[in-house]
Amino acid sequence: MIELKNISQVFDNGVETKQVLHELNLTIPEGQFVSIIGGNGAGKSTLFNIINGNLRPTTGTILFEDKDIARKGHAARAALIARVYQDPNFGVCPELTIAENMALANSRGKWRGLQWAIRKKDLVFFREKLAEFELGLEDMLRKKASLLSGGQRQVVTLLMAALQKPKLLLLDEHTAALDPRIARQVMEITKTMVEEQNITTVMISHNMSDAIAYGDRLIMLNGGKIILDVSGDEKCALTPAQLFAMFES
Amino acid sequence: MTTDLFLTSLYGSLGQGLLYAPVAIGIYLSLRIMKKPDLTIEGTFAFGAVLAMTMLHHGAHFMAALLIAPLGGAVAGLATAIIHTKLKIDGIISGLLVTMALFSVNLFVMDSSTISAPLDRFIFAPVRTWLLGFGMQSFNALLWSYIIIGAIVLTMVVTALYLLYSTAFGLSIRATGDNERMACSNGINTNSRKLAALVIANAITGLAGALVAQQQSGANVNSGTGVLIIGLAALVMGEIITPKRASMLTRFLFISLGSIIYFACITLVTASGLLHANWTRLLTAVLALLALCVPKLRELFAKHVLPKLRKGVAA
Repeated sequence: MIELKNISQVFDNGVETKQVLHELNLTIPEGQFVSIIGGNGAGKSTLFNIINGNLRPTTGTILFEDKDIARKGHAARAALIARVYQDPNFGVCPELTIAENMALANSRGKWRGLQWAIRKKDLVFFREKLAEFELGLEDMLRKKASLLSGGQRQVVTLLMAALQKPKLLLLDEHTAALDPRIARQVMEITKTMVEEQNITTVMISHNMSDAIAYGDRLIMLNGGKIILDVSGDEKCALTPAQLFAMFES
Repeated sequence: MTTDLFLTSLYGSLGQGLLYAPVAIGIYLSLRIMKKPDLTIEGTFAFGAVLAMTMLHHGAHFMAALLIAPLGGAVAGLATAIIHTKLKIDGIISGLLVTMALFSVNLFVMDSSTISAPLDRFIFAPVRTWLLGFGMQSFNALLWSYIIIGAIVLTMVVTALYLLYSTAFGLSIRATGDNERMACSNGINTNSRKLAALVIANAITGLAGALVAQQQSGANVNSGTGVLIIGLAALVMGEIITPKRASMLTRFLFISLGSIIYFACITLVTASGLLHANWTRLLTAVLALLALCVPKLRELFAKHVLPKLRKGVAA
């Protein structure tokens, strides 16, 4: 379970200050899939940056299984939290092979010492995992990640994020840069993966339909505050038009 | 030029190419793997040369000198890395600052602007003596001792680097250079990896400095001048001939080959009398520039010339 208590974020560039998050409180139980929507500047990405350690909150605490991780750095939190970015280029090392990229993800949270980076049994494991998507990626293990299409990269990134089951998976508009057909495919893969492994997931989306269709809970952010928090039947009853109306108001 | 002189020049360039190859590999590690140009290389090369030569001058064994020189290089690389990662100073400026500081350090270490040591203390001496035992001429024995020692040291450097970069630690260094955000997301402490990369690159450059100083029978405060561009020229020449899907080991070997080709080119031009030795640096710059232009020329060839040639063949 992750608990965000009284999280505020103020940006100060020396000339002016801007408060992006206002004493935000949010509790996400283990195994829950939360979708977050909101306009530009609502504070969605700032919230993700605070959760995964890219940013230290101005005030507030982040309790992860009852331990405060607000002062832990980005790299230290990687053992607990995995994030998939909107830009497919952020998730992989283009000059490394797919196997090497997966080896990096496979050693997340482990000591990276002088042991071999990739062993034969790792390759077998990676091949099996990639074969599950039926995209032919398992035959491209030795190829550089730069040769993959945007959709393929995002699928590999998603698999890498879940390879060492994270305590929390952050999906930062991870289908926004893909064409509609590939985006649908990636969303279905996401759903299957999250459900099968019961991963606690928070997804930012600009797609109202996706926000309603996927996940157990829907949160709308506006001006750094939660203005809508629904789940269960209440969430299922929502329509994109209703959400859009709330968004506009 | 007689055939003997020509061959002797080529042997000489082979030895020099092998001795300078670690510099090109060091530049590859910082410039290509970490995507950061490291100007400390010039300072570290001279520092390695000065440390080794000073130790030999004072009677130390060459093995001790060859151990201390890379350590000195590593410390210089560490200084650049700390300035860059902790004080958040730009990498190029950090390298310049350390190189400038090393100039004074070198003067302090040598206690003069130049230093030399008796030839029989150098690492090449035992090999030369061994070769003389086979009846080889004195000068040829000296040239072959450069080649043999250069090849042995380079093999050790390349093997160690290949093994290191095949480990989980090595892979995390490569990932940091390739996509720092992704590396960080996967729990890699990217600052420590930048630090390690600069330490490794400068350690092997310091080692090369120690070897070259012994080949040149001395060191001075300017020993590192121009080394960066020589290493860069060797690197890009090596990259031109490197196969596209090369492993790290193959890359290291082709970069080493690039170093040999670079010195062979310089030797061929100067020994044939086409250019006076004073023009060596200009020639180096031109060679490096030409080598850097090759990828663009290849692209233009593939785009404009190749289709026309294919049409011609089809017709």
